[in-house]
Amino acid sequence: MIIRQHLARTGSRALVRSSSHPLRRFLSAETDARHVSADDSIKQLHTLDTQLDTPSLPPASTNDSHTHPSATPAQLSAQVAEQYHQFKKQQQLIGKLGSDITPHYQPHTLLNNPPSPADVTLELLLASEAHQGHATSIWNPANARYIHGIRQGTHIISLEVTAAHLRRAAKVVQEVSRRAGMVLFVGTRDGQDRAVVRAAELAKGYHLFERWIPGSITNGQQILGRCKTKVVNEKDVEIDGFDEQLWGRPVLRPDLVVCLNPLENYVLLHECALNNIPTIGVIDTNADPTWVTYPIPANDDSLRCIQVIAGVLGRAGELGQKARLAAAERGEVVYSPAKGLVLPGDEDKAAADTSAREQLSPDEQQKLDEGIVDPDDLATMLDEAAHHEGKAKSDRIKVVS
Amino acid sequence: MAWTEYMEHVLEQLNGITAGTELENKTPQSLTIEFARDPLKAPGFNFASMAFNNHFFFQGINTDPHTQSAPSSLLTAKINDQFSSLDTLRAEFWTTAEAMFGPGFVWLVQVNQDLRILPTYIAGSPLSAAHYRRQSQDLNTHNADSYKDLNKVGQFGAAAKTAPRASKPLGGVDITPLLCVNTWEHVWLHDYGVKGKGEYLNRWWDKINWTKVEEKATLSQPSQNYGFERFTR
Repeated sequence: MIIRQHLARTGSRALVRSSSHPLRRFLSAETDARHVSADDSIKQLHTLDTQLDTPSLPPASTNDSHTHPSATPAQLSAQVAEQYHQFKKQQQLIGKLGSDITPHYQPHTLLNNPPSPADVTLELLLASEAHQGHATSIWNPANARYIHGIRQGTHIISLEVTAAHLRRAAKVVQEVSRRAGMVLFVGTRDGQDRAVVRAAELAKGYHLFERWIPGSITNGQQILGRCKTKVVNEKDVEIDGFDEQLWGRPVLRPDLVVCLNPLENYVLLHECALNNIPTIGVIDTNADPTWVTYPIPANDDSLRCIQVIAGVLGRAGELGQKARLAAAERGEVVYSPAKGLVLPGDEDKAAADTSAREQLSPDEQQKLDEGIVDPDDLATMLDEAAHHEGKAKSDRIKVVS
Repeated sequence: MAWTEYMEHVLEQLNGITAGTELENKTPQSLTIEFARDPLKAPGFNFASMAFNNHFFFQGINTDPHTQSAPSSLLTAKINDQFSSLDTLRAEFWTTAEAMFGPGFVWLVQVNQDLRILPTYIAGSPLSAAHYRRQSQDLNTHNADSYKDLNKVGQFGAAAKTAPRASKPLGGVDITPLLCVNTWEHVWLHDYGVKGKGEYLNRWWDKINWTKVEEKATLSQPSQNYGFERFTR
């Protein structure tokens, strides 16, 4: 196995001599044969002397400005930064000299630079051991459609199925992120914490790697009632002045939950199901695929596989966030903002609205709150939307509230 | 041969040493640093260092037969500042390389803002992190500590009363290698013969790729020159 290969492409050319260039003589190297040996030994002594008297690299002097002890911290850190920059540049130029290293698995790249949904290949999944299922005796027959076959007493998950389901899940995460939904990445097994945190970081979502506290959704007001909430605008810039309005507000819930070990998180997945929160989960051959909305049949016991899946979903979320922020820069808001919040400067307008609302009958008030529209009004609104030209918002009905 | 066969040989040996270990996917540069301090790992160091040095030598050669590379004005100014002229640098370089009896490399390195010539004997490495095996002195001809004996400072003072301990090797000064010539015999023996080292060195000098040298160097603009040249204008 040749791990390193030398670069053969420049080999033969490196030794080409320029035949037209004449030899230049600077020192009388071509001396008489009788004096050759004496001259050579004199030259060696000469070099020896120079080396003894003035060693090529004297020790770093203490007067050197780079190591002067009285440099201020700012100067020192600037020097260190400069040296680091130079080191990095040097490494780029000469770091790889000597051999070609064949591409190989580098564990840190899955966390530092995870693959995107476009990079998902069957080879990647195979190398990440996503196909390894459990012993055939402990399988869940509901997973039969995902299983390719049996080898050495264990089920083998079909990688084409895995890839397809992973791509679908990535699409879901991407779209939820694009619509400013809250994505929660959950991975409570040992070693899944880094993957989960990295995925949440990329997708601008939330992470959980310790035990899920039962009731965080169904009994959210009690468990998460004291958590801080903030109001951000469409460009994700926090806006101050909402403390009073946020005080009595119901607790937030995720819009999508990605669970990397559903076998240990039944309570979380059940709560999500009770509250109509879609879930994505990594389903092994012994897991129940009905616990999640979008199963990804894969090996949940392999950290490398989990890192690949979490990385892919994180990257998908990153794409969605980029699309959302790009639309925000253009002035398009692709989601419906939180109800009941008023900008701190607009309280008078809000007061006028509430007084107008109080003049309606209770039925009409309820309809207004729930956003129910009369069929005739709806028809006219649809017509307007369909015939509206130019604006990209025409695909979304704007409900008057 | 110096390139194709030698690199194959060296890398084969290096692969043999590192295959199966956690070091099998490391670059030769990192392996020279890894193995530099342990004498038991000397074979690994030798092959890694030779792979790195040899590749450094060959990538520094201008392979375009139609162009003659020359140092830029900034680099020339730096050379003139340090060596008083490009010809002097060439002479120094030539003399150092010619006088080295036995295999090795001669480097042009940058230390802070100074350019210096550094010979490394046999498989020595100029990298500062591998300074244990820099091998910049010919151990056949003198004791590596002998330069200390030449320095008589403090011999009669209080500090000199204690018996001189074997001091630790110097720490690695930050060296940036810019240029090197391979003076191993197999490089020039086939084309120039046993006596052709001088000719080989001369021809090599004309084929230096100075662009690559400058890429590696970090040259600041020359400061106001307060040297003796001021009085000669």
